[in-house]
Amino acid sequence: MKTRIKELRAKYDMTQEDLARKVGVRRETILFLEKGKYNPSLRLAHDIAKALKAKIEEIFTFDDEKE
Amino acid sequence: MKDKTRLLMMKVFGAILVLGIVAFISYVFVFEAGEGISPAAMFWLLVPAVLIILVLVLFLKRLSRGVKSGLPVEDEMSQRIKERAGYLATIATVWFLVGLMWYHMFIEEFGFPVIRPEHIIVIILAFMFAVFFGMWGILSRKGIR
Repeated sequence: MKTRIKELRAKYDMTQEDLARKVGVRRETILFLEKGKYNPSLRLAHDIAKALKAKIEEIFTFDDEKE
Repeated sequence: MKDKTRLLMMKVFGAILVLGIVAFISYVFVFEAGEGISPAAMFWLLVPAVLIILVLVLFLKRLSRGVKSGLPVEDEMSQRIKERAGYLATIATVWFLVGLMWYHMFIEEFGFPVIRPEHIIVIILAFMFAVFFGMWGILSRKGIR
C-alpha cells in the first residue's frame, strides 16, 4: 500500500504530530502509515481523508491498482 | 478512560514492577548471599533488571511527552500490535510447554537435570513475557499490516 499523506501534509504545512492530534492517533501511527507499514481501519482512513481534505482513494493506493 | 488516567495507571504499574524487581534482587543478595553468588550469576541477575527498568522509564517518558502534547496513550495501531504480540506469545508458549513435556518424558532416559516445579513456573512465565515484550518491540519497529 502507498500513501500520499506526506505530500498532502506538506501542502497544508502540517507536521506528523499535528495530523496525529487532528485524527486522534499517536504520531508513530502517522509515521507508519506514511511508510506503508500499517494499514489503517476504515474509520481512521476516513478521518485522515477529512483532515487532509481529499478522498480516501486519492490518499491510499494498493499495488494491484497500478496494474 | 481518559489518557491522563491511563498514563497514571501505567506509571503506577511500572513503579510496582520496579519495586518487585528491586525486592527480588535484594532478597537474592541478602538471603541467598550466604551460599555464595558467583560473579556470573550476579551479572545475569543485575543486567536484565537494569535493562528492564531503563526501557520502562524511557517508554513512560515518551508516552508522557505524547500525552502532554495532546496525543493519545493508545490508538488502534498500538492495540493491534499488543494483540498480535499476545497471540504470538501464546502460540510460542504452547510450543514451549510441549518441549518441556518432552524434556520431562526423557529425564530418566537421558539423565537430564530435574527442574523443580516452582522453577518451571518461573521459566514458563519468563519465556512468555520475553516473547511478548520481544514481539511488541519488533512489531513496534517493523509495523503491522
